Amino acid sequence: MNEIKELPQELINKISAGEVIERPSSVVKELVENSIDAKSSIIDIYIRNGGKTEIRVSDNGVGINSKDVKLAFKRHATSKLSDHNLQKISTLGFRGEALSSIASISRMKIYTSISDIADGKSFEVNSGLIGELKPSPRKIGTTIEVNELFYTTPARLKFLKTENYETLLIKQCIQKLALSNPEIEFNFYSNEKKIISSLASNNPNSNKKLEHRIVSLFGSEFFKNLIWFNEKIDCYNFYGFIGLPTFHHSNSAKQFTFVNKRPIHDRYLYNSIKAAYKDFLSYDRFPQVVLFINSPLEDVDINVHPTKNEVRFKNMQNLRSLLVRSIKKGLESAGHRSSTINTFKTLDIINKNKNNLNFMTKKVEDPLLSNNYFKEANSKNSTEEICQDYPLGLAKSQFHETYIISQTKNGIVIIDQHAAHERIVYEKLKKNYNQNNLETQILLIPEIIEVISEELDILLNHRDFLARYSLLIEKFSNESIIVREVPLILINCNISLLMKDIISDLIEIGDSQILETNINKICSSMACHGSIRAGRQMYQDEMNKLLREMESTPFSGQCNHGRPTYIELNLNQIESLFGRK
Amino acid sequence: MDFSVSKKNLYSCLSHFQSVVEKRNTIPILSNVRIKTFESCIEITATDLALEISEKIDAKINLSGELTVPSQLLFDIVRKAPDNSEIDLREEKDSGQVFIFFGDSKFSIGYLSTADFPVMENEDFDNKMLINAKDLSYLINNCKFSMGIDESRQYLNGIYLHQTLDNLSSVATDGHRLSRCQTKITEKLNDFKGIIIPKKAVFEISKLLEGFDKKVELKISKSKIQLSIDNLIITSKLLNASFPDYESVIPKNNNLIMKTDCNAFSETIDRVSTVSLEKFRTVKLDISNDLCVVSSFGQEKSAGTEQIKVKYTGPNININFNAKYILDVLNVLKAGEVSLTFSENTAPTILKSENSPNSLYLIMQMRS
Ligand SMILES: Nc1ncnc2c1ncn2[C@@H]1O[C@H](COP(=O)(O)OP(=O)(O)OP(=O)(O)O)[C@@H](O)[C@H]1O
Ligand SMILES: [Mg+2]
Repeated sequence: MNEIKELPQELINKISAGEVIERPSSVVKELVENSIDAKSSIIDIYIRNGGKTEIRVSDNGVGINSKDVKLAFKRHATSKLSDHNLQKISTLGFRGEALSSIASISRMKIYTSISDIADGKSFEVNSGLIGELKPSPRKIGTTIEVNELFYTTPARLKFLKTENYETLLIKQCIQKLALSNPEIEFNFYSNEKKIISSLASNNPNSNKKLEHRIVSLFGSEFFKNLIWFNEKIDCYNFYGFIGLPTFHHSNSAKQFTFVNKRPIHDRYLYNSIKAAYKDFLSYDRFPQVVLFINSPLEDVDINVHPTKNEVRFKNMQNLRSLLVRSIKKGLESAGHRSSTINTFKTLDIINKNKNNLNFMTKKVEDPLLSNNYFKEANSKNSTEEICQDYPLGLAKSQFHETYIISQTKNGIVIIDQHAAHERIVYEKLKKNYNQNNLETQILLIPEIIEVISEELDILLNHRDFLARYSLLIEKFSNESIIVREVPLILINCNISLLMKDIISDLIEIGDSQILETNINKICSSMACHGSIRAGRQMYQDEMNKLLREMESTPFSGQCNHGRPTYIELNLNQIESLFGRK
Repeated sequence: MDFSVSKKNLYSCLSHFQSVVEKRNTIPILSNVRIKTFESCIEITATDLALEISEKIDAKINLSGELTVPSQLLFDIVRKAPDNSEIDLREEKDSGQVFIFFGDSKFSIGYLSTADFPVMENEDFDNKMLINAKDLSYLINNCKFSMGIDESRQYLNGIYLHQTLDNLSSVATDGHRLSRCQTKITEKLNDFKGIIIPKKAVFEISKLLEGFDKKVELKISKSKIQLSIDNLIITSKLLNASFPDYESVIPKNNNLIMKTDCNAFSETIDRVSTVSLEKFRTVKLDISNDLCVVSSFGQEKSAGTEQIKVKYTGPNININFNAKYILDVLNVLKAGEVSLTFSENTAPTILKSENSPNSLYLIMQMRS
């Protein structure tokens, strides 16, 4: 490794200011990234009390030279930007501020050695002050111990969540780095308990290597639902594993995206992925992906944020369309049946049919015939009057157990039963939530739901919040909760699925302070579970009831995601479709 | 195969099968019924793989054999035959058709061989008993409305049948309410752990028992239940789930008893809950000395309320219920006096009637 030099002042200014260390997982991220940059092949991470008491990262990388020690802890000192060129960054670190930032808010101990034979050194750093170097034999590599994180900034300490939650974040952070470095062995222990143990794979095939890593992190069940894809377009290489369209989740927690092997958390990328799945996936579900984007170093700017989680591409528009195209291609290669359902194709067919109108009109030309047909459908006498009264008309029939057709005074209406009902339930939930009077059914037989301990923690943290939605939960054991009361509208839903989705929402939203602003999201999850599914047969009464409820619900014309819940065709339009006018 | 039967017999037999045979089946043979000849009768069998019904009817056999034909088509043809006609069924092997003759009519239907027709394996039924059709139908009909729909908790999707002392008990719950009916039995089942009869079988058995008042034979194995009703045998797979310890949810300390007339109470609740357009209507009961005020609230300030005379002494209580849950119970209790036993905390309410002392209903209240 190059020797460490101080950056010239002008370059320092280029590097945006801001704090690197938000919480224990940020420390883990920085230390592990340093170990990766140091060309280690084994990285062990130990934490205690969610990282609040202790974080220790041990590697077998190149080690730190005794003469460089002081520099390593100095702000903006790095060995990684040799030619002072921020445009071409190939290492994970480059800002030269991680160690100094961590050092200023904790007590650190460093053990390092640059060869197996040379004597290693150890030293302490307290509040940024480097202690005396002592001889301390060890094999080549570095161990960095961070104790009492944030002891100098008690305000920060207060913002930390429970041990379980912080541990979960650390675990997720290690998973990401492990995915992009399958040739490195990762071991992660929390309070001496092994959480992750993933051996390196020496398979020369990059997809086999990644497969090995994914299976060891998430299990083979998860892997079975993924498709390998690898596309090189222009100067970009997109590759990785993308989930089958049938394999989806209610949030983006299992979408792993990497740009030049750096884990990136970027809404724009997530949206692009969603766009690629648009034709295959319901709007409220998220595909699961482990996606790598390799781009020429000079085309990406990673120096957007001190945490290096975001990127800017020179030509985002272009990248997006290439990305969407290559994911789609990957999905199609899987030969999945749903891949043939394509909105554009359908629209095409309608347009083509339009041109064939001459052929179609002949068949229904006889007005008598069509009149009779409608009379039969009218079976019940007073239909006409009733139609006039109701804007959405009278339900005539249901087709494909998904759509309802109703007849109005001067046309027909096609209603998407699930979207419509979901909207109604959603509005009701929101209204009742605001007025604080949700009707609650107490359960005669409470439902016990198994969760992992991190999830348990998150749920219990939000108990009061959920209670306002009439979801009354209690801890049942260390790995289960018991649901005692549910909102009346949801009594027939699958409670355990609902709870799983709510857990996902809560993890995604994260901070309980911004929870209030995310009520809509929770409401939609609940509404989705509480509403009539597509594919359920409905009886006439039930359909009419739904129409009447829609009429009395504000904004019922759109589902929670902005799509229409019904389409109206008036007689004029129908007649012109048939070429009668 | 060649035989003749009376339309009356064949029609009533085929009508028993219509709800078993799945109309839109992906396996074509499942929309067929199997016809098999015996000495002086034929046996017709229908199955949906989980449920199988077979029935024997008298017939004059001219040539023995077996085959399967589309259930719906055969039923429609037979239905339209004149009421007192004799129907002839004749197989023509060369063309693969069955000819149906009655009066001056002649029909033909293509048939499939019985080789691919799935039949349930014969099973050792270690438990057998004779039970009055009326008793069994009581156990099922007075309890089935409490069954639930739940993908994750299978036990909600059926009726739990088990033995308690010298009773046979049926229990159904949807997680919010529970029904238990009991009937005395003379023969004891040995080592009978209790079974859960799936919903579809519950409805079929209930229909088949209608109007039948002799004894039926009940046979149970680890995975199946079989019932012989007259000439008909219905066999169903059981739900593979364990039923929760429901006894523990029956409250022991409810001590606030309200008694009132079943019909009047039912009418009151039905009337009052009209104001609520919701799928689940809520009613509120305000109970004080010998008076119960039933009220319900709808959208846009609409409300309905009605008083009803009751027998009650004790502290005032107000309690909310899902109207449907109460109406369902009152509907099976029919007439006479119903008693509602409340507790002072959130324990479920017990509904009973002197007219059917062996039925017990629990309803969990709502919080408002
Ligand atoms: N585990 C390690 N093995 C070898 N050298 C290390 C290790 N950790 C840190 N160093 C050295 O210490 C220097 C400072 O590390 P630090 O993390 O503060 O900065 P950086 O990685 O260069 O940039 P960034 O702030 O972007 O992470 C590194 O440039 C590297 O030379
Ligand atoms: Mg670094």
